[in-house]
Amino acid sequence: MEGTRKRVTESFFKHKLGVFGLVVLAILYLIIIFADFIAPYNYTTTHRNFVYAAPSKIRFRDLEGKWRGPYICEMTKARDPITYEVIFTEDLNTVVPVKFFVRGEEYKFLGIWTTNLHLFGVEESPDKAMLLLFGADRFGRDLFSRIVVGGRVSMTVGLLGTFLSVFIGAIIGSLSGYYGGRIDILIQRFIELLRSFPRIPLWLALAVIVPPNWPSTWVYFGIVTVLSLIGWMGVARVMRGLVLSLKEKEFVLAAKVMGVSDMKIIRKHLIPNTLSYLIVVSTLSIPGMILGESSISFLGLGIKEPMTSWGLLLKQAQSLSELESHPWLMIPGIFIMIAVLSFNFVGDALRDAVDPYRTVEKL
Amino acid sequence: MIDILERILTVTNLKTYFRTQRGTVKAVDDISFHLDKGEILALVGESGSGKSVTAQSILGLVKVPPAVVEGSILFNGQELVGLSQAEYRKIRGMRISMIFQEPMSSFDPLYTIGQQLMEVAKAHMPWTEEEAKEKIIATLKSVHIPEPEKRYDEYPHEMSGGMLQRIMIAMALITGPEIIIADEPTTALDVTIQAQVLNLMQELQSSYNGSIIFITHDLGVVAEIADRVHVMYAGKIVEKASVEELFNNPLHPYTIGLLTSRVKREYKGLDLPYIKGYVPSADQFSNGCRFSSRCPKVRKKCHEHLPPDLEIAKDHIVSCWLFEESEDK
Amino acid sequence: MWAFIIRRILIMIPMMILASIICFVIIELQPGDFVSQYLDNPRISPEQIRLLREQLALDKPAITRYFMWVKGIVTKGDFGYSFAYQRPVGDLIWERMGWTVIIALVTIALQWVLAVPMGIYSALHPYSPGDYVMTFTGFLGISIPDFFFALILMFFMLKMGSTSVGGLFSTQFIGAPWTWAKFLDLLKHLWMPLVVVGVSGLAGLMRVMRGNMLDIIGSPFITSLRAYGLDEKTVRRHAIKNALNPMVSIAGSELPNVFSGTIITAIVLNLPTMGPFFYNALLNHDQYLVMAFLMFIALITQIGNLLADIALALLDPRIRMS
Repeated sequence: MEGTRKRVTESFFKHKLGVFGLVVLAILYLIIIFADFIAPYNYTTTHRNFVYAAPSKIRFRDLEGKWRGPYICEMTKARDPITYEVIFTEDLNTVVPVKFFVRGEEYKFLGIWTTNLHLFGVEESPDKAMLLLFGADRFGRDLFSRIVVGGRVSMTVGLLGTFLSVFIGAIIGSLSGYYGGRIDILIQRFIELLRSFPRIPLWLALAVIVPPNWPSTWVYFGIVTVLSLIGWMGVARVMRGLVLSLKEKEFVLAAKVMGVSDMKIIRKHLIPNTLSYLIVVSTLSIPGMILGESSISFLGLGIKEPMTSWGLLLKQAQSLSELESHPWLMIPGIFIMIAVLSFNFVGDALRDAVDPYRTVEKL
Repeated sequence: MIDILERILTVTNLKTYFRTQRGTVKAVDDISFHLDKGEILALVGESGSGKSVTAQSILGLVKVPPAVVEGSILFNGQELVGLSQAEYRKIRGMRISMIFQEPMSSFDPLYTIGQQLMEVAKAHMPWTEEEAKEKIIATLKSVHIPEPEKRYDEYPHEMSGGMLQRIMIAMALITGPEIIIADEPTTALDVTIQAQVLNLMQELQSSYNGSIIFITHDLGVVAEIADRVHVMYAGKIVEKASVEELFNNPLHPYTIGLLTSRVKREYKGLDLPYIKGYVPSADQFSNGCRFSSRCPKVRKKCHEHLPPDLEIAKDHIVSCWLFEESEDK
Repeated sequence: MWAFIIRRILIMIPMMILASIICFVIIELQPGDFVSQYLDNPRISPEQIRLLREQLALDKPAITRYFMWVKGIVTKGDFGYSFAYQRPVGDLIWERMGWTVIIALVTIALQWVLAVPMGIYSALHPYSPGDYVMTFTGFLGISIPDFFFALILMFFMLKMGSTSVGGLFSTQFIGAPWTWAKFLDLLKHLWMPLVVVGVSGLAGLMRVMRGNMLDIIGSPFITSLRAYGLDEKTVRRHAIKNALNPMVSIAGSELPNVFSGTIITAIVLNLPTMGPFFYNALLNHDQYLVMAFLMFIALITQIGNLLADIALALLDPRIRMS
């Protein structure tokens, strides 16, 4: 077993894209763990002065050309001479420096310590100036902060959903493959039936089952369940195939002959031998889960406020007029893409390392 | 007695090296041999000895970059090493044919065997479609395929391994080649079928007067079918002799090891003899004799210097330091 | 062969029955029904709500409603009534079906026409720059959420000054008779959903084709073919035919994916297909519409799988004879 682990790791690290994906994922997960610290602002606070504000321009030299380090300008109210609308413009005379390790809004670090230290920001009241790296949304909420916090949902829903579906699928699949006969046929037919519905309509229909009046944490778990309800079938099929091929191998027959109970055989022989394939299958299903959650939330059937996810954030970009004038609202989509791409790279490299002969695909 | 022996294939200093990440793999390392018209030459060795690569090198099936093929292969006076693929295609399947180890996976499963035979026939011979079909049926008959007209329209998966192997022989014969290279053609078959196929090959060889290079690891097969034998180990030929000479008077320790490790009745109840150790990895050869790590009669010299080819008896050549002094001059 | 087909068609019937039960159960699990949206409306009294429920037969127990529905389908071909649109569900679906099917079929055709040559090229020139570009594009294609891609394309179209983004026709052509100009207008709108839906499927297909080709090229019979002196073109023909076979069964199972793939894109791009329809129906608890749509998709899936299996049997003699 040790030799295998070494061989797999060596093979994985030869895959440049896989390593790249792993690094990106590590960065993303670090960001969401330290989300509150990294976000300059609280993700729910609204700021009337900065509704749909464009991303802050970070300047380095002031009006006289003197080097000042990174800074932004204060906003002043003015009236548009033609429409008489109230508009906010930058007051180029002001200098609000961007600093690291700034004191800002309070939060609970990792849910335990209360602190107000942020990685970076400006020490100015948010009425006058806000450091909006990605602009602000309809309510003047900092999009960067919302993306960073929303990442928590987007990046964990995939993991939890996959874990759940692998758990369910592995059990059902191994029972199906091991006992065969009527149980197998029944389960297979059932899976076939469910698979005759394509995923997205089914996801949407199932997502509606989650009551809209539930608190958002419950909704989160509801969505996780919905995602895994579709995912387990693929895992079950793979598991069944693996168990079927293992069942006939000599060491299983030997164990049977020696009187080892079925459950023990499944537990001690079949599952460890399939574990590496299961890991590959899991990693390859995570992208689908992330995309699923994004789609469901984008359509308003998923994560509910005050929680936020990248898909939900994109919902605001849905109308054409908003899109044209406030294109930064699309940035969350880039994050979805990066996360899914990285998982795909890692999954691909992992599969080449663990299962180069593609036994899983051929099942 | 044959007075004039036509030498149709002369291999001199053939080297086939593969460049890999871990170094250069010397699959075939400086071998020389010849093949005369009408004889059956057996190349014997374990897996990894380089016998299959030798066959592929003769037919130019080794992909030249990244591999390197050096030396000389003279086929009826024509130099094969360095030939372009286009030139090689005139020889492959036409003047030198090859049959493979696993008949079940050597055919395209989506075409009938008739279609595949026709394809090969039309690629090389100037026959019309009707002529080709007649010749194909005739060849199928000559390899003892029952009801060849029916078989013509059948698919590979409908037939047994033995029958497919005979069809593969038919495929090789249809163009009337001068040499057939058989790469372990009976290894994947049952023993009884094996016997049938071997008999068939002998029958065909005498009626067509063709030459066969028979690659195998099975000494029993060698005893039955071959005229001369070359024993290969780790990319080199260690012993060359006629069949009788080899079995009656084996010289190289490896050959002796091979012969004694066959399971025989006398061993009943005793530990089976075997050759200790493993074939060295082809990228880690030392400067000495390749067999030195496993040889029961190894001496100091063996680890340091490659033994030369020494002719001990008439046409019996062995590459081993043990026979330094006894070379028959 | 025919026995196989007939058997499959016969199995579809109980499958559809079971599917209908599953659809019904899912809808029933959804909290609230069509009338629930009126509960918060102060202008509608509880009495009116109760009457409305009775009228729509929503007060009867689930099992009764199920059998009423099934009876309607089997005896009258009546798939129920859409509460929101006040029209029979059958009509609504029929109207939308045309565009849905057209877009789906054109997408699949395009995917195939592009994916197969790309996969073959990639396999024959592995690790070449072309291969890397295609593989990377492939990865991008399967990683980008389709609705996001649609948003990006729409944004660029807007920035480039396009006046009619989304939908299938510009305003002046809606309801107008078919002319060449109308057809061009259609193409100008159609490319967006085709690209969005096609790209992700294309990427997957291409990678599968590439994988198949690489597998086949390494297999023994290709070496045999070369050993018989056949030229590279012939060898390639054999390889492609063998690699293409498993793709055919994928095509059949791609059908429902393409249908569902268009749903979200259609919602974003505001296309007159069944997707946005289904979405609205879900939000409104317009249950018969939802169920009919799900059943329709399930039927298409079964048909798609059947067609794929038939095609595979036609192409692969090994399967044909078992």
